[in-house]
Amino acid sequence: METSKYIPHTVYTIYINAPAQRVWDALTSAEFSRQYFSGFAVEMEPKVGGAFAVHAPDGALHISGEVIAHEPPRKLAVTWNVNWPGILEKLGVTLVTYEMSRPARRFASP
Amino acid sequence: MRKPEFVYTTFIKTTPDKLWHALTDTEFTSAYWFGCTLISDWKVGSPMQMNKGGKVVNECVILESDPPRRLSYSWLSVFDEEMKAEKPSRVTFVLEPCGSAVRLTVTHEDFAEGSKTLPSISGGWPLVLSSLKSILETGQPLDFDAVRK
Repeated sequence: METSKYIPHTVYTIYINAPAQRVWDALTSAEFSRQYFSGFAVEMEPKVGGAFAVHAPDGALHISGEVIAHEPPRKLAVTWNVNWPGILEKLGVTLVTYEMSRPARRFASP
Repeated sequence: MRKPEFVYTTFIKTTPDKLWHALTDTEFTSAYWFGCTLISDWKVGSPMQMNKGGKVVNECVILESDPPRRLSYSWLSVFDEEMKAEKPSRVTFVLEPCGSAVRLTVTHEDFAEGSKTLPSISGGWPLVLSSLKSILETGQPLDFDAVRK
């Protein structure tokens, strides 16, 4: 899939005291996501082109999408279509990309 | 009004009073701010110094101080000659209770055109604010030697 048409709207960086694999698991497993995502379950076929979905605690489909990049535990990209009335028509298909990297250096500046 | 150059929001499981203390207490800042300590009486018009390794790295002046809701100070990085020649920028902290957490929004704006300070603070704030969240929630700041393993 051609991803260059996507222009970042929001970029957010956070440092987490955990190995990259643990962060990957948190982003991709229902068991883990239910603990921090208000009971919502992330379900993902672990391959490019696989299905991506987030289900609400009542089982309703909240977000659906497709796996665009799958490079555990460093990079994950999924299309992210929120199942609210009219929102897909309004926004078009949106893309969420997660990149996990180690801090390159100790906080050097100044 | 111009759009702020840098905005960062994070939710921290703490109280506004504890967060205010963490942002302004000299000893507490030294525990998570990667070797920086902040020294001020935090009154509007007072200077605030950010020191690292015995040197002043940022010279600031308190512009707003409304504990535990809103804090703003000017910011001049003096550890680099080019940055030192820039006009001071302005950083503002807004603390809003949100259930059992506090929503912290940090806005850093008013940079000179082509500012060298802007990319520096854009890389620095996520580090400092992640470490702040970690220490308030777990008692431990971030330690990059440990993370890098």
